[in-house]
Amino acid sequence: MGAPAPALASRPLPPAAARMSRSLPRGAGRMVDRLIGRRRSARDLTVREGMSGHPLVVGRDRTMGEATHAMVDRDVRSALVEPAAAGSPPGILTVRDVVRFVAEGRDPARERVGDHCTREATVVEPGSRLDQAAGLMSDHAFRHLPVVDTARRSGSSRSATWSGACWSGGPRRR
Amino acid sequence: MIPIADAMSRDIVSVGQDASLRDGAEVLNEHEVGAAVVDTERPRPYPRIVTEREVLAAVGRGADPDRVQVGERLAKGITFSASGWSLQQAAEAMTKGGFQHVLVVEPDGIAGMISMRDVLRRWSEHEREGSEQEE
Repeated sequence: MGAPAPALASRPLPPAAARMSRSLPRGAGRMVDRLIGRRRSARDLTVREGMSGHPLVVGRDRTMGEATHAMVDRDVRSALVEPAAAGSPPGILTVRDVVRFVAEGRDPARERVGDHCTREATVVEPGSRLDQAAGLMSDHAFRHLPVVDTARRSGSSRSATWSGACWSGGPRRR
Repeated sequence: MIPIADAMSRDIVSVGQDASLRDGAEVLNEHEVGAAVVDTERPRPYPRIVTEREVLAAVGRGADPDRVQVGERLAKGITFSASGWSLQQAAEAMTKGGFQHVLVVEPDGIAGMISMRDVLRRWSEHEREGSEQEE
């Protein structure tokens, strides 16, 4: 594979949001496989150690065809979808959504991503425990969890400031 | 119609039922696949598989992957298809059943396995071929 294709966003992401947002595009299973393969317990690990960087990001108004081609080209099983409004979490389009789309025989050149994705994804923070993230994914049958860093270093202490810009809504606290 | 046989992988990865879940996960990881057929000592009426989902569920519930055997965590509700199916039929079966993988069987045994990812790849290829022809 050559250089990664540029993110298929209808407008560039603000740099802070792009830097802070990561996803697990190869899915939870792959993440856990990788960690198990290292012979470490998921309890001792954080999401940061299992996540993949550089998620594919698509605009809501892109066609399903465009989004699918980008997923195939990048060899990923999910794409983050730009939030509908500033302050909302990102949406997510997964391989499962596309397979359903194929099953329904819909037109990929006409239908838009925003109508077939999960509009607001459940997200986790990079410092969350990996086994807890795996449990969350297992309980809800999620295979992909966007990782959003809502904490920002402020002086010497880590304060829970929402990251600016695009994903500023951050995760729902549990 | 896109035949399922154009999208499925014919190289099937297998793992023994007595292998630990960790070993099973390593096999999946090594071959970069999401599911493996589980070899059983005695022939079963139908083949069984283990997938990433079982690994995730076990780890998520705090199970020790070294102590759990693959045979204890077989995937439930596996779907079979014949190689004469279309890609859309496979996609329907996956969507209705909530499966990520469908085993493709012939009278003489397993012909291949098709994953959601395979569906995406082949469908995208087909759509791009179609739009090139229109231009």
